[in-house]
Amino acid sequence: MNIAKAIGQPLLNLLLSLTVIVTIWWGMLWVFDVSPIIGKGPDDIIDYLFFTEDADKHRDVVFGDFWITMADTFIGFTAGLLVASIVAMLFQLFTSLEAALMPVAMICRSVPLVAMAPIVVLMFGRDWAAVAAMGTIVVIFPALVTIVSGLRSAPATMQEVIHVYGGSRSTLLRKVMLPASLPSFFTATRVSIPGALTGALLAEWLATGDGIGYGIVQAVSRTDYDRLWASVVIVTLASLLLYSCVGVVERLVQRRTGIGLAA
Amino acid sequence: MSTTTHTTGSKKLAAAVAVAALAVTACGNEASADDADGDFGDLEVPLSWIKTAEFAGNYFAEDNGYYEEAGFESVNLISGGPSATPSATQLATGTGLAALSNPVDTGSFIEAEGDDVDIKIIGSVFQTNAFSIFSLADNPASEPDDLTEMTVGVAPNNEGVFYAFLDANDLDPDDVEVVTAGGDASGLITGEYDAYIGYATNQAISVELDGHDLEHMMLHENGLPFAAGSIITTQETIDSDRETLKAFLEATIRGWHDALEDDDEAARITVEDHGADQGLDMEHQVVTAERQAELIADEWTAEHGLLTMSDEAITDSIESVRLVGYDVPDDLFDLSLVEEVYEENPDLMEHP
Repeated sequence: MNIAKAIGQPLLNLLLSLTVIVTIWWGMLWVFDVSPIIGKGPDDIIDYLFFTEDADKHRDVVFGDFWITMADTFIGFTAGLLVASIVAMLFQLFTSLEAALMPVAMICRSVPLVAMAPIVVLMFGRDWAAVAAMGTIVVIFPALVTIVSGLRSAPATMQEVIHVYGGSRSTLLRKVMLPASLPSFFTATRVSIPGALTGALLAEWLATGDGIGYGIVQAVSRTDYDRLWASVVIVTLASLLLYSCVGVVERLVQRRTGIGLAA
Repeated sequence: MSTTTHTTGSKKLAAAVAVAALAVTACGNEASADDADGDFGDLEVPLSWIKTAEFAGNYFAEDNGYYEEAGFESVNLISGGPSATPSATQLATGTGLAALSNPVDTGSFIEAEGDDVDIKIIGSVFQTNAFSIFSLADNPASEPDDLTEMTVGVAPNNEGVFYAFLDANDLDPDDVEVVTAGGDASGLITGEYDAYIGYATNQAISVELDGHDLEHMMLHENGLPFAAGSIITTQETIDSDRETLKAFLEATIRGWHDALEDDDEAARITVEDHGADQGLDMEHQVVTAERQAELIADEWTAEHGLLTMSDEAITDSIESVRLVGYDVPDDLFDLSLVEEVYEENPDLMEHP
């Protein structure tokens, strides 16, 4: 069984991404000759988190924020993907819905979340409901488009078989379209993760007032650039890691079901 | 030859890609010149906020040619704001001869980076800060204890000051409900919170002009009497460009004399010229100018001149900043430059 390869490949990609990021990071600071007061390098961040006198306090602050952000990301991600999946399926069952609802999803994408935030806060308050709403707003459009096209990608011949045997649209959806959309679903999952993270950070900044999203603003206003960089680095690492995890799961599912392997 | 071209080309390309990718701009200009004959070169001053009437004195000093008379060739007041790099950071990274800030922001910089850059406050435009915790008059917070039954909107950058206020008034942070607010007090009107911490000379005015009566609880009367509108610079600049700094202070004082004389004109040049791209409201800026005048000129300045500070004001400011949580040194303030300016220009004292 090629499980080792299924895990190994994303891991290799992850290492490659890390090398690229660190190189660009150092390179930028060097090329633009950024003042060390603002521009912290990887070594400064490692010092800040592990070796300075107050390193344990720094870790408490940054990772305290971080786990809140992870929870918020999970809330937004789940809500967004769930809504996108349900809406995509409804589109297949009631075709006229798509023309009616797609513009709404598009609004989510084209109006900046910052502009919508005050309304979201008034409607959903300042806790997890607002986080879920903002996560959904960020995630829904790309996820929806991807899942819809996945559902449509079912081979016409298979769809015709269902029709010929008198199957309803919901049978068609269940037996043919859903399995066929699996690769697209994973693509949607992958594009949704960075989106959900952005949504969570924005929700924290504009609504809940905790987590990394708020921590970053706090760090800037306190001139705490070490904390700022550390927070950004941790979030970046986390999004890379999550992205890789989806890659692993995707490969394992592909191997198990055989769907999407050819692509 | 072709190799050289190639190398330069690829480095340029790398730089261009880098710019496109991160949209970073790097600039570092030294404002000061080393000419000894009164030619101080270009003047750059990072401001602590967007260009509102808060900096009217600087606008007048620019418009009426005081900076030019003092020996500067050109003037560039660099707008700050909620998303701008803090003025103290700009100063420390080489932008500006001096900058406008406040003791709390300056304190936060010193706490974080004070080992590398020695920042000093060489004058205060505001004898006392304009921070207010304000609430609607029909549900007023008249004294600190009232807040225990209220929800308070606090913007991230005011957190430090707010918790120091609670501390100074023996209030337990757990007893006060805090929500994250943005840079304006609109949540007060929508009912999202009952009180907001902001400037009596800024956010409060928007709410009042909207037709709501406000109850103000000024922070300087409630345990945090620090001076604001701090003019900051580095010790290095004080040592190397003392005369340049004094020329800047003198011109700024003259500018403030003009600004205090005519609130309407101060608001007009702010709205129509200096802050034209901010879409500021004329009525609002007139009230700002009127209201800040009494914080800028008081009994002390009538006798000792604008921008100066009493020893008591210095001690109060340092104690307040320490209460906020930043351990600033005892010699944070250096008022000797502005004092020399008044000694050398006795006419500066004759102002309305």
